Amino acid sequence: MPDVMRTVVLASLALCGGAMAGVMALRPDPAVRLEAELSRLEPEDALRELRGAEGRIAFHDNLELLYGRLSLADGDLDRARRSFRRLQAQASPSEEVLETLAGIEAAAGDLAAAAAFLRQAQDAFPSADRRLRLGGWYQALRQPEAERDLLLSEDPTVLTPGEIDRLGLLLIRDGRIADYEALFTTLADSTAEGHLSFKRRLLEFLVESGRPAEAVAAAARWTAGPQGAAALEASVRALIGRGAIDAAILVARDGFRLAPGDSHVALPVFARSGHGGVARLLQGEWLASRPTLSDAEWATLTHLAESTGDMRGLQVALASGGGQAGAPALGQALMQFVRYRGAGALVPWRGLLSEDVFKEVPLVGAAWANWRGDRPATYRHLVAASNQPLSDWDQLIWMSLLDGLRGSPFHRVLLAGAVDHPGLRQRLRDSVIPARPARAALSASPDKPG
Amino acid sequence: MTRNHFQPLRILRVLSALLALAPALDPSAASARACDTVPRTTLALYDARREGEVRNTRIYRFAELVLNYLGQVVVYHDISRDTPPQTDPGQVGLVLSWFDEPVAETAGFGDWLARDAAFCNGGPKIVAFDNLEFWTALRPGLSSRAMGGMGIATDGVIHAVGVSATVAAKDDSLLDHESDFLIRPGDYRGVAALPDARPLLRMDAQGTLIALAVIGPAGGYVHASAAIDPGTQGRTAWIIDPFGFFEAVLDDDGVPRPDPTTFQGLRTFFVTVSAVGWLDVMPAQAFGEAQRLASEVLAERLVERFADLPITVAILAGDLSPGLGGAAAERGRQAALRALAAPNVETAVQGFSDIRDWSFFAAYDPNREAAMLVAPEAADDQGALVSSAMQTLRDAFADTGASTFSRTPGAPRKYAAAPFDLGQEVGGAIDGVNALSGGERPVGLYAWSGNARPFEAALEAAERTGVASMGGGGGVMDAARPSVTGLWPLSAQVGGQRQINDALGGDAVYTDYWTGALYGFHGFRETLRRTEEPRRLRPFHLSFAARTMLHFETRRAVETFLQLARSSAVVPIRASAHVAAVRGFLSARIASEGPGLWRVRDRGALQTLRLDHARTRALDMAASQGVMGARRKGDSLYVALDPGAEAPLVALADGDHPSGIVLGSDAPALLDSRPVVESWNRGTCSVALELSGFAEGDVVLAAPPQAEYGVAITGVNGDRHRAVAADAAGVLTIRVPAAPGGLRGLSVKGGC
Repeated sequence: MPDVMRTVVLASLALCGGAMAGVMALRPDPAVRLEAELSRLEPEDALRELRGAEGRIAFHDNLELLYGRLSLADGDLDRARRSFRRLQAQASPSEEVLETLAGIEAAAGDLAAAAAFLRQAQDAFPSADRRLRLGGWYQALRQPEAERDLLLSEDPTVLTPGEIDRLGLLLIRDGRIADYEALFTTLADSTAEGHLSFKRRLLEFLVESGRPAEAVAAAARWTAGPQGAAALEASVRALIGRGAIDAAILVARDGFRLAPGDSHVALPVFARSGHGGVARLLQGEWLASRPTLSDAEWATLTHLAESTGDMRGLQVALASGGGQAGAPALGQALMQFVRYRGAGALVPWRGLLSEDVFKEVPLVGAAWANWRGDRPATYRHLVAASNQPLSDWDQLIWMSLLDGLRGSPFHRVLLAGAVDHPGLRQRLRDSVIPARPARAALSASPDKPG
Repeated sequence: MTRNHFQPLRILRVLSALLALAPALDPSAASARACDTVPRTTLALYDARREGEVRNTRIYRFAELVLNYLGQVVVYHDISRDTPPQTDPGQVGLVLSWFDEPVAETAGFGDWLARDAAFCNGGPKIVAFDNLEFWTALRPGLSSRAMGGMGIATDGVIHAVGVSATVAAKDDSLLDHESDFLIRPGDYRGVAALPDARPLLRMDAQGTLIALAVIGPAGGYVHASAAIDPGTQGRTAWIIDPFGFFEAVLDDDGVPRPDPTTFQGLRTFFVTVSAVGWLDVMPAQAFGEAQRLASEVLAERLVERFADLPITVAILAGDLSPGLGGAAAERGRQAALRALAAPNVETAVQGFSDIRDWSFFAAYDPNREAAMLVAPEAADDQGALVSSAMQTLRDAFADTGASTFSRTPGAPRKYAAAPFDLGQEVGGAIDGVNALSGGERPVGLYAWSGNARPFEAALEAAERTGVASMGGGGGVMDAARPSVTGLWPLSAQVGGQRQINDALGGDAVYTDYWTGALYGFHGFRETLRRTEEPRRLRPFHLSFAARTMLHFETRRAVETFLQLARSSAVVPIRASAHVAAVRGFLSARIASEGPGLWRVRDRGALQTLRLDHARTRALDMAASQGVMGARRKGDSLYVALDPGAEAPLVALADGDHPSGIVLGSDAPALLDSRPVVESWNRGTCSVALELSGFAEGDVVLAAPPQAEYGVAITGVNGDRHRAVAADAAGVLTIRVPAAPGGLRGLSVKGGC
């Protein structure tokens, strides 16, 4: 029995011991218990508890993070810094920890330390937003080398236009011209946002470096690629802007060959920049290679004629393919003859004149009808023209055509207000009011008092 | 029946009125009289067609703050109107242009500039930033005079500048200020510095020297590439030192400059609390715990705990209307009553309906507003993950009663139950809040809400109420944004009105409007430091919204800065006092009455004149009138004016005593004072002051070393003077108790 009793007692003790050990084993870690308690407290109270527990219990990562966050919220930057540094040392790099350390140092006024943490964060977890911020911090710190290296470490095509501009300036500052050229070559060859401005900058650089042939080759490469027309126009403009006219001519000629349908865009660039002679020369070459013209090409030719007064291009085009042109393009082209040479200049092109053309550009119809003495048609076309926008020049032409109707009922009807165009109405009013001041008519008999 | 008596008095009155009008009718007559005053006006030219309104211009954004610091009041003239400026030429010391494109219309301005006789001192200085064509397009005589004044000549050629260009000469004392000058390839107008000019920056582009920054005999020129670095994130920075540049151009270092940042030798301190989030609910920490409004927390935890500091609390009248504010309105009203009952609180009003976009109401169309509100903007979450920032935003726009923001976050105002009424928005709101306290705590400030860009009529409406108004501007200058371009000018010209700006930005800008790290507001300390050293650019203006009380981070930041104000050398004032000081800055006229003698008139509540580069200059108390004393800070001398003096006379003498004061007698003079000096009476041996304040503070006097005095403070030792002695440096510090609403007399009698 005693043995049995002893066995029972021993078994009971063993059970109790096991239970106690279980209880002890299952008892939460003080740090875990503290964490649970803190979650029920206001931040101020939680921070007070943490401060009280500091040094008494070992903080695990979660508790340290909470302590760091609360200290930071409280404005205790030194304590927050210690917590986050401890976390940084204990664990693998964390984006939040590095960002927060950067934020702590920035709030404390130590931007250099802040930038060091932000750079670590950027290296480990690259992001465009962080890169931009870091670049701005380097700039504020006057650390151009660090800023330059940060930007150079990135694929240039993902940089923002502002970053690219800044990187270019920093490379010039450091005399790293080869890197500058490489940067803009990459960007100019891309279709990244703003690629036309990068093309311009590369061409300017090549011209300045005395390498116009390379500029021409680059422009030809872009002209043959996507958005070739825009690239061609930008290239010609850039080269003319840097005085490289010969290179610009070569680029334009390359354009005629490589992008025949779009190359007309180069012509107005020459004309607008004061190189009318070159424009005419190139226009002739271009026309020779274009048996038929698109509406856009007609528009370019018309624009050139209008801006230079040189009708030769239009004459060639009308003679060779005028009949295939659409009525709007044809009307605008013929209008240039009316503007510069009068209605009589339409005679050689009478075969191209049609009601469709007159409908598109009624002033051409009015001029032609007036030339032929067809007053009803002149009137009809003048009324139609008055319903369209008319430049000052065209209004003067309109008024001159009106002279052909003088003495006719059409003239009286127009004077009576058949026209709504405000500019023409004013001119019509002025045409019947004596131009000289009324007082001038009385000059022979001066005013007398009484 | 009419009476037709001879009325000599009436005729005299009419005649005197006509005489008073004469200067307005003939500005040259006015200017002839005005030439004895220092020309403090900078005429800023801008092109409204390109830049819209004054507040968009680069002069306003970058240059005005610097010119304000140098004592200049900037008046804007829209050159696109081509009418002569309506500014008295005699008051104009500087004409400043900052165009980025040519401006065609110059005749009107040319007529004004050609009025030689109307100007003082040989005409205004002329400064051009960026595009010069406005000046080259003036009629030939004027153009050559302007260009000569700037110290430059142009060759009419556009030069191509590429990567091979080099810096030929650079004055390091004035360049690479906040950002380094970098050569920027492009097209540059050929500009050369004249022989009598001081070239600051020259570039060599393939053998051609191009001047990029020049100080001329009567002006200066700065090319765009030498002015402002645009920054990759829009964080601009000065390349040229604008303080040094404008100082050199104005060449008036000997003239004291009005300074509204300082009272009685110390930086002023004031607090503004905006009504944003007044009704926002602070989440309960535990289930069943009562939720509290941000405004309730504000009243209890801040206003009452910091009773020793003035706090200007703005109320949005609409929030307190049950029909608009909803269920929380009554509690918000009680919180307002509790806050306004505190003696340290100045009552402010933030309008009625919480205007977010003032420009929308400049040409108000109720139908357009109704259409905006009908089309809902708030997107359904549809179970998407909501970032903490979005969560915070949603909290910010929590549905409080009739708030439009819960449905249309982009609505131009919060309460749109009735059509916009400017009278109700300004005067009506003020009346409503005055009624709240039964007239006991009259409104002292109208705070502009939302984007704080009120239109002219709104400013007029505020002006008519007689209540000071403030808002907008502010700015940040911390470690990550260290440029002075982050700060805004003292005021903004809006048509014929002046809007007084906040002095510094608050919690919203440091927390990205509560969407970023909320602890960021602790960084405000850096702005405080950088706007105090090396120059005191700004007062200590702590501004935050009521909703900042909801967040531990921002609430603790506010408490920390209030503690900082307790321990700092500042003068706590109400926000309206700062507005009055800025108004005084704008109106003050300074006239020379002899070498080192300056008379100040029309200064209103402006209390300080500042003399820069004055290490060897001191205030001569014996020769001065209506001044209390002075205090050195760096190489500047801050002269404290007697608040009761109509036209103080500031006399300066040679002297490098650390106090900055030549006493001239045994009577002490003021070095600085935390309590506000309401009256000042200095005799041969003694000085008597009346002081107000919110808590006890030190009055620091300059006296002969070891001099003995008897000090009496009303309410402490009455007329019984207790003996005190100045220390070996001649400093006498007296701690004076103070409480809101009361005056304390301080008498310091000397031994003579």
